[in-house]
Amino acid sequence: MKNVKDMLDNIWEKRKGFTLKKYGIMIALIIISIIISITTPNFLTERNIMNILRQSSIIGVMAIGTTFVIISGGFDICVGSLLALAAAMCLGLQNYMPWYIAIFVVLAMGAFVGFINGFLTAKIKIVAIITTLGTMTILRGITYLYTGGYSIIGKNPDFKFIGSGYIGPIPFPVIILFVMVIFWQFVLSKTKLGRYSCAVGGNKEATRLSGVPVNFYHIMTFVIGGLMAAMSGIIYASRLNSATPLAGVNYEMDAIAATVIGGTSVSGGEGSVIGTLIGVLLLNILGNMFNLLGVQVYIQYIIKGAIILAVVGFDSYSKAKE
Amino acid sequence: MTHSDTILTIKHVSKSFPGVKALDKINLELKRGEAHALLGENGAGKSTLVKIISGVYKRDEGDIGINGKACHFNSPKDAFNHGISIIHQETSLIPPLTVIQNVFLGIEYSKSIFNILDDKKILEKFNEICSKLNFDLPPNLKARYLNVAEQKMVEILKAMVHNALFIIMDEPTDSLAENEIERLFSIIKDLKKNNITILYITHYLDEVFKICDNLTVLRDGKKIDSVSTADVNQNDIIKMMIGQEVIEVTPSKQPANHNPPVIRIENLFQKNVINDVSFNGYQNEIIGITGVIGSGKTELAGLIFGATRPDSGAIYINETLCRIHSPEIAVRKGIGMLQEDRKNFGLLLEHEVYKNITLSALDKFTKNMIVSKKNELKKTSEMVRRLNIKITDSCQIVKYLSGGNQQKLVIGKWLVADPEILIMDEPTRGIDVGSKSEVYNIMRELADNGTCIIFISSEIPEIVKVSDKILVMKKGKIHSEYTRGVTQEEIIRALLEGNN
Repeated sequence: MKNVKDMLDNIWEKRKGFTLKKYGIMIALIIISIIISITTPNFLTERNIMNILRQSSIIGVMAIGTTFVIISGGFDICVGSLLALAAAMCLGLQNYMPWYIAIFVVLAMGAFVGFINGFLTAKIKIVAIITTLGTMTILRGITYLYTGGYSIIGKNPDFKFIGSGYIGPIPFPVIILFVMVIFWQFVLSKTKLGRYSCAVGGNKEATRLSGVPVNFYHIMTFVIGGLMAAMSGIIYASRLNSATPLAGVNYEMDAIAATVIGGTSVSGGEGSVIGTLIGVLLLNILGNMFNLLGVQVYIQYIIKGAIILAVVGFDSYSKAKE
Repeated sequence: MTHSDTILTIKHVSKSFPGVKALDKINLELKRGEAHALLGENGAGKSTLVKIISGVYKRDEGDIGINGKACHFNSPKDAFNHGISIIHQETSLIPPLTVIQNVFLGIEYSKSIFNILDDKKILEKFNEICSKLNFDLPPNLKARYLNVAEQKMVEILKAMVHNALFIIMDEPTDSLAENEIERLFSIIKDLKKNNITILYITHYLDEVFKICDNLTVLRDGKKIDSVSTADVNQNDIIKMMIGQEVIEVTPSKQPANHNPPVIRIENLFQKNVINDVSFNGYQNEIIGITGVIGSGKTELAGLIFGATRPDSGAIYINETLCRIHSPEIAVRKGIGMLQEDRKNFGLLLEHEVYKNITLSALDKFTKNMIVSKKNELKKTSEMVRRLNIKITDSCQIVKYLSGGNQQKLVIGKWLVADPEILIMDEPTRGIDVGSKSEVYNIMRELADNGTCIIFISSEIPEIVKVSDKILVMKKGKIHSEYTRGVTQEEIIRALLEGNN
């Protein structure tokens, strides 16, 4: 009996990296799903679930980048605007080049914007939220200039596959989301980039004095943030087959909300991509439930905000109590 | 005397943290106007006890009484209002506020119903207390410009303004220079005359004999004994603290000076800080650098390690000129550095032990871009064994380790990086006697295995004991140089000697 207890203790010790907090989110997700499936009969249909996953894919991909930025102690609020520009460019550039090359150009643009954010934050030492407030405004302006204020409509049916296609029963954007989550979770927990991102968020100066090129890694997290925002922009453009200059407004807030609900510490240093995925799903399932139950959108906002405060409040309070 | 002369009574106080019994039924009585030393190795429970007295932690069981009245403090503010002030090892001043704003923080006198600050009254009170304690501090200087000694003075003022009956001083002399310590002692004597009780926490036993009337020794969360200082000597105390005699450092073999120096520093200069410093460091050599606060010894270390940049001068590593613009380059060139402030600059406190151990040399555990956690854990347990670090698990969060264990962890981090030149800035600061000897022995072992160690310390006994070559710094310059065998007195004389 004692051995069993020791063994359990041992497993518990080893699992410490995967904290109760994250389990808490997972449990919340399961409980909410069960409640919804009982209260709303339409919830557990294949169509509805695929729908939720597909809706999650755009914010989900974006939130992966946000997760990296927040883990390294930064903040990125320009990703919504970046999505708009990426979507517009992605469709606009197809007039001059094949769609697959346009995708690469757009991804490179996203990474470049991320680099600028990172450079201004890490090297010029502007506080991240202000840096990205600036670039957010600039990017929105560029998007208006680029589109002339009108929607751009896509013409290429092949390109539509990214946002609307299926592989078997599964929508293609959902596959992108899951592949990206697995890939970036791997990067976060198994590579130097991931380790140093956490270290920079934990204590940048101590990390610097350990001989780590901290600015490089700090900038890299913003590059990932930009890259993933551009990718979400591509999915967005392909899904709607059009891009308006007003696309992606407030998406950054959803991405940040999903990230913190998913257990990433707002003060940096720890977090996980899988947690973020769960956060995105949680938010979307709730939204879906409210829609099925016919709850007003205005009330949904209030509830979403309350959830964010509850989750972060619980986290901060339990940390402060330590 | 009208009321009892016991000011603080602690009865059966216990406190546990996950996995550790930090305090086990502690009893303690402090008398009015005495200076009472609280001694013990790191992890003995001193800090925990202090935090309970000052209301930071809640006790699991037991009673605390002030002036015979039972007290339940829920916050430091509570304790503060009961006349308990604490002067932390690290400063608790708010840098952008001025001296006077810091002193009166929390009890700003105000007038009229609009709560307008009564600056005149505040200044009067400030001057009154300053003159009482013979302090000379500019009231409107921002706290960020104060040196460590002045910061302590401000904190004492703060306690006085709050009508403290009882002041806890946690390692107050740790970063003070010799004459500043004397100053502090005379302040403590004044405080005692004003019937203020002082609980004095230190690692320096000679200080205890100089100013403390009584002392209490803790070990592993238990009280060993409370005795009058007059009844014991240093060896008695050390025995009580560690239960055994201190291990002495084995004398070294002579450094192999025939080889070219591993590090050669030429005319290093940084405006107002470092003035024309040159020296050589060889394999197997421990170079001790000492000096008072502001002599530039820490700044010199920062320059060599690339944390800051020199205005001119050159650093040669293995006879090649190196431009060390960042710690990153320094590490690549084979230099490591233990930071003086291990909590803020040496460790990732919120992260696991193994992540800290491998931080400086993650490449060694990376294959095909993937970090092997298995190898990391293997190396970590190797270091834990080698350095005798007391942890329960490699995935433990560093924050909860004691100071000595944290310091060994930082040493472990650099051992993994395996630098040719290791700068150690105050490596024994704030750690207990037992851990200190362990650190000295590790240093010796490293040097004997070929590392060149630059050992920076303001503790002259350890400099004399450990170093092969000693440089005394003064005002950014190397004032004098000694070899092994020099006595403490000679070094102290060199430090205290006139201007040049």
